[in-house]
Amino acid sequence: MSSSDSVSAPLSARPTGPPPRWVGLLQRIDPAAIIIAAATATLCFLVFYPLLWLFYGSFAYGELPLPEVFAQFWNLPGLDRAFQNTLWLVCGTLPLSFLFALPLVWITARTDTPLKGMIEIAAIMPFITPPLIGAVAWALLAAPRTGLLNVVAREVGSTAPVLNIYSMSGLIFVMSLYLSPYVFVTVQAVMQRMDASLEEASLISGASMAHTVRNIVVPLSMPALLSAGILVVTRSLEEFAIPGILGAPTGIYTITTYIYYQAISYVPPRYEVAALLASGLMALTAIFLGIQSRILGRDRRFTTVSGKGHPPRVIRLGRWRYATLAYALAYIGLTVALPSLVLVYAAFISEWGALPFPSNLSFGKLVSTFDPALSVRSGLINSLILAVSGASLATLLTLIIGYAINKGSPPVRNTLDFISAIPLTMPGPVIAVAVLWAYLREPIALYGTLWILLIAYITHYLPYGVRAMSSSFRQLSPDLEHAAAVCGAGRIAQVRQILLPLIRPGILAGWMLMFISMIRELSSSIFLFVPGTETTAVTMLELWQEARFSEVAILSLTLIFISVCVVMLVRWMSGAAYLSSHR
Amino acid sequence: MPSVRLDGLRKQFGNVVAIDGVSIEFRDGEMASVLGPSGCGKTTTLNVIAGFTDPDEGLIHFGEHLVADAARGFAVPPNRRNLGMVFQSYALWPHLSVAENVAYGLKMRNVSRVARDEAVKRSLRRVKLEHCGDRFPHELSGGQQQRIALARAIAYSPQILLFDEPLSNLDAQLRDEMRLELKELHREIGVTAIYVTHDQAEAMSLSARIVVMWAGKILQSGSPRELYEEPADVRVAQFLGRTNVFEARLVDKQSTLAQVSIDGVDEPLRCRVSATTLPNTSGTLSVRPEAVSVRPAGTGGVSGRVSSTMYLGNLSQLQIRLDFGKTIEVLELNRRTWTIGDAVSVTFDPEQCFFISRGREIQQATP
Repeated sequence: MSSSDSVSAPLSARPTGPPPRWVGLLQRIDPAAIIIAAATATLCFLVFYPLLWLFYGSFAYGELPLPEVFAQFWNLPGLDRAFQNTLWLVCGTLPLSFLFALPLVWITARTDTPLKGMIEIAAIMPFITPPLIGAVAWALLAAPRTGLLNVVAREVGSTAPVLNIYSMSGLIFVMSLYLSPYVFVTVQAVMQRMDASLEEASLISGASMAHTVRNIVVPLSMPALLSAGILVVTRSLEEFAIPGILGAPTGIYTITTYIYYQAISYVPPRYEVAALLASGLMALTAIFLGIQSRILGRDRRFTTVSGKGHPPRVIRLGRWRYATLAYALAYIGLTVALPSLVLVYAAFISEWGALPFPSNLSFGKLVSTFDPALSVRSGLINSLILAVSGASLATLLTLIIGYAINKGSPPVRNTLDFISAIPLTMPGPVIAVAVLWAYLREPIALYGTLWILLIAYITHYLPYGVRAMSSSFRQLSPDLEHAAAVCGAGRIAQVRQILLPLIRPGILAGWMLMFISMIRELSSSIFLFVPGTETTAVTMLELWQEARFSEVAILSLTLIFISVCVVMLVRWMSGAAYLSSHR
Repeated sequence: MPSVRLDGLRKQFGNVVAIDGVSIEFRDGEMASVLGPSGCGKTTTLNVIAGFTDPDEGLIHFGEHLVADAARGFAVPPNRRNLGMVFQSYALWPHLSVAENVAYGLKMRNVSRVARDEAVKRSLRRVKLEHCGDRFPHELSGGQQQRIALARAIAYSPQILLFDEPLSNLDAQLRDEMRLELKELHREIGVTAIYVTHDQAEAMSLSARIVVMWAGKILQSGSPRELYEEPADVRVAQFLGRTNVFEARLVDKQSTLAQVSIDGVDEPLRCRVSATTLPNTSGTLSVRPEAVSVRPAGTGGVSGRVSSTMYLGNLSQLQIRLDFGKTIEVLELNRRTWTIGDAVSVTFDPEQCFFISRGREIQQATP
């Protein structure tokens, strides 16, 4: 036989005709497609509606002709100073944050320094304590007159304050401390995964260690270094809390604080100026992020640094390992230990700035802080409402978008990826100004409600959620849902019974990330709150301005406490999920 | 059991044509293999049959039922096709126990609890893992996981079973065992089975019929013996086992016996040929390594020299450089010992030589 009879029967013998067209059409409309379409529409609305208003507000707002807006803009008092300050801040933070982080990277990735595991965890602790709390703690430590370190110095006999945190160098110092974990995490990931044989090959070819570092290690970690640098630049550009706490009181404004103090809370508010500045900030961020994604996307050469191979050699330091340990401990002291201690101290003291402290201790503030007369209690409730509902809604939305990104055709995938990355270019103040323009007036007037904050939060943290969710989905082999489909499960059943249980840890982690970011949110809340809708971070800033240091410290500790509880809860839940799947 | 019929199937991804006009019928109750090198479109074909991928052109029928018609944009979703499938990656759901994995398809079909438990037990017994129901997939070995995947696929008695290189993640010995078991299982349940693989030994030992695919097209389909002994295409001859090929011309032909001439050899060689081959065509002579006999020089045949020897235990593999310049491969039972440089004469067993005419491929492609 062979070929001829094995090939198919003639086409004319088709026994069943295809069903009418509408049957096919009905079969094509599945509920999953409707859900995805709705989520996509929501995403587009959240991203584009405020953006359109922001651009409209920057260039076409009717009340003043455009040239006049520009003229007014250039004549704004102090704007040039704000630009200069921002430039100094960025230029100072960039090298200093690397100076803090790179030795730590080397210590944890390549040396036999004791307590490496603990150092590694402590190095990313500043992620948990937000910059707001860091700034508060350092102000308590090193404010020229009342800072604890200066008080101690005076007791010891110094006549002038030793440290002044309310200065540009103070700003740079605190900013670098709180951005160095970004450098640490980015660079360390590469250093740890770098295949040791790459270095060994260089050494065997006769190159010295110094040559090897210069010619192999540095070039291979270049993308990570560049990308960490850009991260530091964009973060320090958009940071609000640190210049708000440490700079604003002495008139050192950066662009973000300038937008707030000189445009939005100015009387009367200069909304056009805010819009124009926000657009500029957004453009700047977009440029940096564009460069970063080009660096990361460009060179496949650098994928030699991945997974396989054996881990890098550990350098035996001998006696020097105590020196490296001392460095690591000093870093942890500056970022974690001192700030936490001063916050605890401030929480339990009745009168700030006085020593000796034992007689000064009291628990009174713990009670009085949460007095209903202060807005602390309502702020805390608002923050909890916003963080829980914001994180949950954002999880739901990003889960659907993440699914669509993984299952969609390449154009769908790229479009959704792009749209959901747009908020990355919008720092908190930019989002806030855009949202303010969009929801201040008809047709959607939400100003003065918690809704406007909720919308700003969800928009702000969308990109992080989408990334977490879509990478969770990506880790699953499509075979797993194909197997379910073959067994007779429809799309909804596949997702509910197979995919969701499998990515539960990823969902929980994404929710946690967004919750922790939202509960401490300051940089957009400060623009959007009205009396009654203030959040905890806003309350803290207000109390700070009233010099109620103990209350601020207590709130800081409360925020850290809530964050730690949520982290532990989520870890326990993922652990339970893990156990239930791997009993 | 329904047959599976593909008519004029085409599928393109961007500029890459994955399936290029495939028409074939897998008969009911048959175990057929789709064999080809990676990237030949065999997995895409399976995905189109399963419904994970919609074809750009063509029709798919399961028995009398139309399942997909690209021209009308009609495609039954995979969950309505009543298929069973075993994946290369096993694709067991790690969060479900073995019994829950196997029961899933029954649950989707709203089978009552009692009947479901019964069916789960039956199919676990069939793969000899009836004691593993309460365990989780990660607690089992690779071979056991693959059996569970098989049990899951047959639990709800689908009429068509698809296999996507199911044994390629197992070690060699386990693979041989599983082959036998799969064959036995198929004889018991008698479903229409389509088995995709790139391993020719697997395809030959498992299936009654092999469909050889190459670059999105079907080169040939037939029983393993037909494909091995009467390949319709040089690529089929080369993909199924090893072979020596010579440019050749058909000089004489009587039914399926023929004489061909090859350059460098004076007298014509005898070989077999397909009955449909036209006389006086040129093409390729395929000579299997085991069809060559080697004798000391001067005993008649084509002369040459031994250029390498490899002792394989039961066999020896020789390379012989023929005097007209071509090097051939020979598999010999170890009757005699050859050393490199020995002058030899070789003859070819006409029964194991097959002439493939160049015209035949065209005849094949357009049925």
